[in-house]
Amino acid sequence: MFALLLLLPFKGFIANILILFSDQRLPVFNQSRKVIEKLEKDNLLLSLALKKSKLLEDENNKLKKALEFRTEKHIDVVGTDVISFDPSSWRRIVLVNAGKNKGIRNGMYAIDDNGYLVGKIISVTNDYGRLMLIDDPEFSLPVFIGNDAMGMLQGGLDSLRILYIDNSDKINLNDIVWFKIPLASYPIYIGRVMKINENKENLFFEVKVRPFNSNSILNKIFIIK
Amino acid sequence: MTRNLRILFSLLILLLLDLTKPFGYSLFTEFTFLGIIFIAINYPLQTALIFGIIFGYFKDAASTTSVSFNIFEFALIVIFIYYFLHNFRKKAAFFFIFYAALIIHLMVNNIYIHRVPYFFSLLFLIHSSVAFFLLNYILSPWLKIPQAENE
Repeated sequence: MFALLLLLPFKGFIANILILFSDQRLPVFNQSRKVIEKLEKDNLLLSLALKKSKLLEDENNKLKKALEFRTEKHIDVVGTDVISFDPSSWRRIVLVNAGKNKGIRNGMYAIDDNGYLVGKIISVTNDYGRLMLIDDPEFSLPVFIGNDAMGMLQGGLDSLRILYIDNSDKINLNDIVWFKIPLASYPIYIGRVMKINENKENLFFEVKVRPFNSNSILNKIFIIK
Repeated sequence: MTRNLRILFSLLILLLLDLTKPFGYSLFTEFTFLGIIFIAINYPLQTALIFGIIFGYFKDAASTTSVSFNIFEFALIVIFIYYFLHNFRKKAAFFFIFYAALIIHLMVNNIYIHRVPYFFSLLFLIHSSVAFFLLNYILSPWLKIPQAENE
């Protein structure tokens, strides 16, 4: 029992060792890896399309009317691998092997193989791109909470927070936090509301978010073009 | 010469571990920083300072941020360790020096991000303690450091 308590701070580390070894035991050849990558990409696009249709069903008439005046943008994804990490433990920035040559630009968003938000591109060279993960302390993004509320998602090493939520907005625990890619109606899910910090003296309140993407070993990342 | 090459090789491997993070973000420690503490405790000031500056520079160069403070931080940590070892040689002093260096590193980085992540800081202390113990166990025979020097 005491030994288990001692191992508690290393829970994630031990889990990752097991993942690492189980990955290495599987014989993955280049050709089959490409096929897997293509299938993953197709699967991801289908799952995004499904989420999009669900979202459109729920949208009210006013929003639909407004969307009719916009040009719908079709999206594509580019599969990339993480090739190195920022050496500091206080920053969550990774280098990915896709750059301008694959059509990657600053500000593009990255998702994992389940379609959950991973981060956004902050700088690009011809062959590489730097991706800021959602738990980087400098990450920020305007997001939706449930159906009504909006706020500013801010990254953090301990937990993700959403700031500047209007006090009049209704938020419940386990509400889904999501955002929409500009000019496209694809909802990208980020996580669920974990804790609500209400202070009636302030104009705004903040919530803590548990991200859906909790895999700290980032193997495959898809960048939305 | 062989000794310096071994230190260089060891620190390069530690830097590589920081850059590739084989366990992702589940292990909260910085191997290069631990390596510099190890070298500063076990080697003369001049050697430790040169390696501190070189690897501080490497870490800054590999970093994605524009602020380069590792080169200064590593050099100051080496001088701080030298100063304390010069005055205190008891075993308890080594623990104090190690944790003081870790806390300074935590403070510098927390100031840099303008926040204090409590849970992360606690895990960083725990993981770094265990990693340093393992590092000491692995590097001491490789760098031929007599155990008596550590105590």
